[in-house]
Amino acid sequence: MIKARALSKRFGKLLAVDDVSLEIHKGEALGLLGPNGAGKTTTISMLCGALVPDEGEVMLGEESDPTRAEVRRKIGVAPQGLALYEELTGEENLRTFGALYGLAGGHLTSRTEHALEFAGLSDRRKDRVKTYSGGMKRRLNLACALVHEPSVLICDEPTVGIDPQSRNHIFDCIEALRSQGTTLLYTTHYMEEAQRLCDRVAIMDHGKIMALDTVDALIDRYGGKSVVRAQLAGALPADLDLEAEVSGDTIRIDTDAPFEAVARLGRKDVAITSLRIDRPDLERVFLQLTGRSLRDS
Amino acid sequence: MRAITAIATKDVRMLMRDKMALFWVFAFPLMFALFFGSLFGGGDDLPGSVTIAVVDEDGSQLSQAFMEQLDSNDAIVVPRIELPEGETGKGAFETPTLEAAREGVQKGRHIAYLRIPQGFGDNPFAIFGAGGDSGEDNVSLEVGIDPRRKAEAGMLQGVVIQALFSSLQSQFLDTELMQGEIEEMRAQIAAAPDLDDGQKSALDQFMGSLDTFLLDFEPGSSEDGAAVGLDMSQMLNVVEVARERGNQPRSAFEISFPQALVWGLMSVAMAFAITMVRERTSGTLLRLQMAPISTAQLLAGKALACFTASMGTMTLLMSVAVIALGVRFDSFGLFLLAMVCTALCFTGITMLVSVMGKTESAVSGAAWGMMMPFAMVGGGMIPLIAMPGWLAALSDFSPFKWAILAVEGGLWRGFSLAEMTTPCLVLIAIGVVAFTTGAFIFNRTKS
Ligand SMILES: Nc1ncnc2c1ncn2[C@@H]1O[C@H](COP(=O)(O)OP(=O)(O)OP(=O)(O)O)[C@@H](O)[C@H]1O
Ligand SMILES: [Mg+2]
Repeated sequence: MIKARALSKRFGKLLAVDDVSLEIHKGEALGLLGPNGAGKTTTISMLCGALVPDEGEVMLGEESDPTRAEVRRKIGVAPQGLALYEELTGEENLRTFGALYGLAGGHLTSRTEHALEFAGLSDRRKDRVKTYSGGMKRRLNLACALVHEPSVLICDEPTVGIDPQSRNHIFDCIEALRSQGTTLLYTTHYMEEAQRLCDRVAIMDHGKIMALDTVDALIDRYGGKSVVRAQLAGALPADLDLEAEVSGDTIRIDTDAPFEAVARLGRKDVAITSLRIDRPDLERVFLQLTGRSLRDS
Repeated sequence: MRAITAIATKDVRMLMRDKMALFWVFAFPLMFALFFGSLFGGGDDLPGSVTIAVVDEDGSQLSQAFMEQLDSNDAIVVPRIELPEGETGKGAFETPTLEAAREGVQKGRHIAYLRIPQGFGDNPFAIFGAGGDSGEDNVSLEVGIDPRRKAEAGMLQGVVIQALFSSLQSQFLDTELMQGEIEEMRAQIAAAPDLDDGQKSALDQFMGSLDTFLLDFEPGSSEDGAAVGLDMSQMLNVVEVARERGNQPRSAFEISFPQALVWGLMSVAMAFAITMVRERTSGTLLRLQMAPISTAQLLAGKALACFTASMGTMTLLMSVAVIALGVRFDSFGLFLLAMVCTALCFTGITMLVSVMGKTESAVSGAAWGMMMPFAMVGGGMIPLIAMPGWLAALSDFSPFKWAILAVEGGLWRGFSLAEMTTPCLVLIAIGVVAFTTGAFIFNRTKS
């Protein structure tokens, strides 16, 4: 559906995007996970034709030019920054953007209605956007990208600065769109979001894609071992036969089979006051790939 | 086209919701026009009181009474000769010749003239039967007025007839005076050589009964002349005196309103230039650029919005001038043409101004800095007709001058289509050049 080949973009001396290639299949959800400044926004700007790459090319379907009107009609973009007319009402914003995509008459009205419901703003439709809360604006920002029923949806960090309830609402809506076959490109620096919503995830840092695969494959490959930590009530039997680090009354076991390790502790009648298993996740993948934590950067 | 109107609609809507912008676009220019219009005596021409020159060819007691009656009506002013210093009371009425009065109407010194023909006082009742087919001894009153002043003409007819009846009535009821006249008439009848005795005695009898009738008459029993059932259309002979074109504004408002229009348009330009920047800073420009519309369509939408707002502003301001202040157009068609060309010009200027900065304050600063000097030398402050020579020469470089000139051309300068062509072409040329330059810069700095 979308193919990018060797994209590069430079801002002055800064190489914001460095030789990025990726492909998004029809109906797929691809996550672009990376810290601030990784080059996510710059990459998607080139993918949707808002920014001209210095090098490389973008293919959308059969078209090589993402600036053509027919191509653009198929894409919906929810920019990272809120892009709304604050003096207009939610409904007027949706109608304006719908009309820009060629909707009219009853179709425009029904799509606007649908988008308002999607954003959970049906009862605030007549209020000016400047009176909305941050979360409402976020939801409307996303809804404006959907009013024309695009087959490809590009969301640039759509959940920044909103409460868990609004976030879940957005997740539910995006999942509903996915089940209808919408292709999704989703950037975020929250690994939970990438893990929940995306089929495949590209890990990005310093303008480069470090790895691109399914969540499971990435974890298998870069996540390392699970970590079992247990607090001991008594002494540890001598014949444990597990590679374990013991410090004081806690024990740490790094293993590919954490449940097997716990079972073994049970079989040896080890008395445990608390137990914790840390499965490898995208955070660990990122750490492994970049030497930094997603949250720190 | 749908995309273009969608952009234009939302821009106009946003302007209408911006109270601050509305103040500068509409309220401020209106205040400007009213203030300077009335400061320079704009109100002399208001329909509230109409100045009419009375050509009193009769010079009789009745015609004097008639004029007093007219002047006593609040809606009418009959000019009087100014009294010398120190004297109080009212001066005598001015007594212009028919020629002078007619010229006064042509030049716009007064709105109409009224001619009281000779013989009016001798036989005021002849008026009621005047007109008809014999043109010579036509003793009907004559009103000369510009055919475009329909409202004033209608009002004038009513007031004149009312004053006529009032003065006749008071004269008629001045029974002593009338009795004296009747006596005189009786004597005349008796002496008339071409009447036979029968006629003489019949008339004498009539005069006698009129005499007694007058003594019994109670003033005020019949005030309404129309009730007598007279045909009044014959009493007033309305003559068309076209106001001469191309010389003087009829009131100071016809100077101050064209100025107000360009101030309003300048504010429209400012407001829209800022909305262009705001699209950039609020991120909505990104959406517009990612929508399936071309840059040309985007700019067309912006231009349409600006043009519409400009036309709306001018229409609104002129409506106030026409409805409340009696401003009239020499040629409405040419005025409309001037308005369209002016709106086109300012649309182009808006486009250029909107790319002169990347932030709202940069653009508004640049816009003020660029437009204010043009406004000042272009007739925004000092009216074009009051400019000293050097300023008038300088003003040729200001689009404001051409806008004001074109608007005044349709309003009171009495421009012909040919005369209108120059300012209109200049305006369009400025608009096109400014727009193209602005669009070019916009295109280059898009992303
Ligand atoms: N218009 C621009 N001019 C100059 N530098 C830019 C511009 N846009 C982005 N950059 C730089 O390019 C780099 C990548 O920016 P980008 O916005 O793509 O990051 P991002 O991954 O989207 O980050 P975030 O998570 O903070 O949104 C950053 O260092 C940024 O400073
Ligand atoms: Mg970003």
